[in-house]
Amino acid sequence: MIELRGVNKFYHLNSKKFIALNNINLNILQGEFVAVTGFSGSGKSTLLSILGCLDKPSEGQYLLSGQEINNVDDYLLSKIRNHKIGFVFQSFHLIQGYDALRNVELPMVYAGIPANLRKQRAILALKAVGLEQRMKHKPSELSGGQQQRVAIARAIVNRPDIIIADEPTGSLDDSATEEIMHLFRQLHHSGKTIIFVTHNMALLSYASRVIRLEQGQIIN
Amino acid sequence: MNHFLENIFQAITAVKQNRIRTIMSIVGVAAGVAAVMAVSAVSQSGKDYIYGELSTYGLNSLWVYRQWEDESPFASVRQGSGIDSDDLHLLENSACCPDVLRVSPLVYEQDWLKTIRVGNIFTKSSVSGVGLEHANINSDELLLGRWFRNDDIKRRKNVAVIGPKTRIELFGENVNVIGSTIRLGEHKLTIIGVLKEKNRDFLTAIGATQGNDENRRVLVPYTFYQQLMGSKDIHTLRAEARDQEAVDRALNQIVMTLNRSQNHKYVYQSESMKQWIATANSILESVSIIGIVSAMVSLLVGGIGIFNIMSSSVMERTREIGLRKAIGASEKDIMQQFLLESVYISVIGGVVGILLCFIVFLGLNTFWDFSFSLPWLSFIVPVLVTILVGLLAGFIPARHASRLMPATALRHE
Repeated sequence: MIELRGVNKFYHLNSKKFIALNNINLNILQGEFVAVTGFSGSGKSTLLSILGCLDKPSEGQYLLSGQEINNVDDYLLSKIRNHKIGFVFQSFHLIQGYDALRNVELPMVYAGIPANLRKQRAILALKAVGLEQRMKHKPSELSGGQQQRVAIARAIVNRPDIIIADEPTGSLDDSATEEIMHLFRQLHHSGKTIIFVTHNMALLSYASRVIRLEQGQIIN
Repeated sequence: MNHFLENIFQAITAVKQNRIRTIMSIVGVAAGVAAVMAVSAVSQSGKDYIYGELSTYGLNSLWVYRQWEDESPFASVRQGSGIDSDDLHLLENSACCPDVLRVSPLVYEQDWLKTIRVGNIFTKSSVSGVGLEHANINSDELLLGRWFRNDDIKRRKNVAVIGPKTRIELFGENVNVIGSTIRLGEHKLTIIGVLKEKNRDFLTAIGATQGNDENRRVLVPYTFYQQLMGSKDIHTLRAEARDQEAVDRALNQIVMTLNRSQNHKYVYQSESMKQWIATANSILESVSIIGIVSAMVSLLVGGIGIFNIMSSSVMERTREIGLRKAIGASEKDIMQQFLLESVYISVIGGVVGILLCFIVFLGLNTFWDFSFSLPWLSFIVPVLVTILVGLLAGFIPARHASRLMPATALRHE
């Protein structure tokens, strides 16, 4: 489903070339539960950005469901992100002025789904994460764990094949962490491909495969 | 459509979150729009007011008279006004002037302000001899009595139509003066009519009436006045052209006829209401230009305010832009979102400006004796202008926002 061939990613900082990813070759099959781990600056987030089509490789090939991503234009890329991938971030990235329901509806707005259907689906997604009672609450009225559950509802609402999570429990306490990981496990059981980045060694046990990165390279 | 509604919703939310800065920009745009509207209202009301006064002369009317300081080598030896009763008959009766609707003589002395007396009450009024068509050409209306008849003119009757102020000064208000007698020097005049009041405050204020108060007039049959002066001279021909278009042709036709009939002995000067309207228009245009320049400055300031708001909004919401792109927004969606936000702020400013102006004018119309009119264009144009200001001011920040890479935007601190 996901295939990286000789992917490199460079950044230029003050005319110095900084290598974030170095010759990454990777295959992830549909339905896998993959954890990506490594020290800070090892390239985990960069790898996730490329896998999630938020960034493009400097060199090499990225094939998503057989489609070459490097040469896709902005519009098509936005459609791929909208339909195929759901994102969950460490800092939740909910829009503060919107209530939970509206935050969850947002990906469907960009998918062009009519308002009444949007609402139905968003309520279902919020039910799936156990937040149907809180859908009129703004992010500031929710706990960290609840906010992350809203973010997960938003990630799954367009029924993507892949969920990409960047340190999804990084800002949460132990019980909230457990709730969130439990949700990911449920999603995995329902057939989604889950790729998540974590520092927390205890969470690696949830994954069916662990990818370790060091200085931009896969080391296992 | 979905995106569009979402973007409108987003614009409203964003504006709520940045109240103070938004209000500052709204004030800037509102001031600009109010200035645009004030200028167009003052210009339109001024036009209405001045036209109203100019129309008291008849909008298609014109004047022809001898140019006294003419360049003709015979000027010094030519006596008389250069127009006489024969010319008038020629103009009235022949087919010389197809563009002239009606013509009427004006006979007066150089010192036209005369003392009028009733018993031992005196007043000064301008006295002139006029013809049958004078009232039509000069847009004079009667308050009481009647206008001159053919018989009055033919038989050089000593009858008079007087202005409302002359009447009040000699007889007081509410006195029926028809049939009463007034004295012009040795001569007795019987009043047959009283004119309605004419408003020429503005024209008097700028000195255009040359001290001649239209409400303080005594009009007599021109034939009577000619007899008094012992000549057939007519000092000015008043005429009315068929319409505005025909004014210049009518002037030419009259002057050519006079030249032929007087064997080119005189040089004639002419004036038309059309020229006066053109002068008034050019004054109003100058006022409008000054106003429009100041309005543009206000709109520019408002526009810069919106540019500033939108630029900092893009900076502050970089992570939100990243998030929106991550969940499926395209460059076009983001561009549209920020442009709509900018237009939304600008149009609110425009509407506030329009309302402000409307309320102020309503107040002025109520408490001040001057009628301001707001042309309908002055509602449409500001709204279009504010949309344009919003688009221009929002374009660069919106383009910047739309081109952010989602990964970079999400990492933004």
